[in-house]
Amino acid sequence: MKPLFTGKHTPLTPRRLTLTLSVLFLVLVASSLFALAVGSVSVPLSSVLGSCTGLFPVSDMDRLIILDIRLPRVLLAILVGAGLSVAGAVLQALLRNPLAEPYILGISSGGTMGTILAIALASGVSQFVAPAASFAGSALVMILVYAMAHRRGQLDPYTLLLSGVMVGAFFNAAVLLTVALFNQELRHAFLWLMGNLSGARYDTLLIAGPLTILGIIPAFLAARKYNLISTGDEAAYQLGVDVRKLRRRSYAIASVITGAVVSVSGVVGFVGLIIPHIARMIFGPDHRLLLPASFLLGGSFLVLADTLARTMIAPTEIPVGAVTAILGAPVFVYLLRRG
Amino acid sequence: MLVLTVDNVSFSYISGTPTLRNVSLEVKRGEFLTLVGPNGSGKSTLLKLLDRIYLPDTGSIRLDEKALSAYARPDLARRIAYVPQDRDTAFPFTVEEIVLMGRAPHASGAMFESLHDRDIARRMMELTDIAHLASHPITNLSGGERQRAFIARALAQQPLVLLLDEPTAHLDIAHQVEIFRLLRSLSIDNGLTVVSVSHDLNLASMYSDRIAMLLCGELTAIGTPPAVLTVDRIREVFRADVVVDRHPVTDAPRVTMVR
Repeated sequence: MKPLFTGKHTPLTPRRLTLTLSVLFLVLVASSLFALAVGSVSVPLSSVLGSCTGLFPVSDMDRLIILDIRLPRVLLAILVGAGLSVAGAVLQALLRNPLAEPYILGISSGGTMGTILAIALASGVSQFVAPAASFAGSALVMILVYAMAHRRGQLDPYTLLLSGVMVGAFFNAAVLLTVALFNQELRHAFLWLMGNLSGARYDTLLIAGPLTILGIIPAFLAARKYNLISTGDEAAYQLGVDVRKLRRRSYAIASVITGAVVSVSGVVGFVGLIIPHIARMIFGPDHRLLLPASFLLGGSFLVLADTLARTMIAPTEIPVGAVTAILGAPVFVYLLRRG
Repeated sequence: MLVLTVDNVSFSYISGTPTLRNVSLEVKRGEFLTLVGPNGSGKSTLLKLLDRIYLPDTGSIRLDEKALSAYARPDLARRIAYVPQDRDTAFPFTVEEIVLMGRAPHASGAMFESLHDRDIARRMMELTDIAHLASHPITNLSGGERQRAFIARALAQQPLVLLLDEPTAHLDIAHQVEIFRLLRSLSIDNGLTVVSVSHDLNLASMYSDRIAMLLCGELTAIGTPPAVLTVDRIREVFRADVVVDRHPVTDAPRVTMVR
């Protein structure tokens, strides 16, 4: 495949890292403030800032809208966008393929299966049961795919990829079968399949949040090793990297993040593929910058995409997964053709 | 002074079918040794054993009079650098970024390269004549430039021994000569020990101090190019009909296919 990023650049310095991440952080803050102000009820920016900081007077109604309805949703969008982007960047390094994304490991289909079963069998209690069932399904697929790809202590990237695709296809078929058998809750399940943040509450964040952070921190710390492994397994090994350990750990990182995210948002496509890709085009392939930049860029992107999803034909909501796919697919094709 | 000692080493990927059988050889400091032999003779495998990518089934390998197995991996990466044949360039790292990666074994957990690291990378890029390409993505370079970038990365590890697996594969004649001249000058001018796998008997003859010839996992000959590259031996090992005469300029043995 032809490289998309062709610009010359100099090696990363702590100064450039700090500057770039500061700018991206401000972008994320600006996107979030915008998302908090916009919606079926428009709230002035002073109320948004007032609710968050207590510096300005705010009406009780505005405070309720911002703190109880919109803020958890914005935080969830950041979590999902950032998590998927980091998981995507890690998998792209691990598989040495810029087209890898979190869902190719089949984890999302396990999560979907879990959720669909919970909705079909235990309708009514799904607010908490569905995310738990989803994570259980994701975990099951994680273990299955890992066992299939793990041979003689090695985690082979190609076997991993194929196992993921196969297990994913199997569970997707099982999902369709289940939906066909229990079609009374079909609409709810359908929305979830498309990726949806409308169920955002503080308590959903409480489980998925720490799990995602738990995956992201070791990924950031291993950034230099991802640079080495993206030039080849033997090359990285001879430079002192414990390749087997890094592969196992990275698989776990990507799986836990994806599982956690899928359990609270459903299947939000394209973010994990396109954000690391764009970040690499703008900032270069060095993972010390690429991983945190993908985190911030992915967060901002999904906050804005979700704002679009809930305002475009308000009061009706579009699943955010549909928005990311409709925005993401053409952008991606454009990037491919330009490269 | 001996740098590498290979003592009666055997190795098999699948038990029962040995890839290497009872190989013994010694490499002196500053020497340029080329491993030759037909496909599947075990050259690349021997090279990987020398960098402990695989462990021998029996026998032992010593580096600087200490068992290879006694080194911690980052320790080994500061003494032996290995340039594998298949490298991935899926992502557009620049030449300088690639070369700086060679400093990783010296970093001990640091997140950024030091000025000292930058300095060494710069010197190695100059040595391999790619300093002018420092900010270019590796994905945009020619095969020869890319190979030199990966050799520069290996040199940035500041090793005692440089191992290369077919460094001239897929390169045109001019680039092949260029790589071998570089390896030669590294061993003479910088005292680096070089062990390289090659399919080109004439390049091996012109540039290396000694040649080790392998056949079916066994070392059939080791010595200076005139001692190893004889008509009978090449006929036996490669099953090829050749004549061997002298190179008109360098006087090194010259191997020519008859038909």
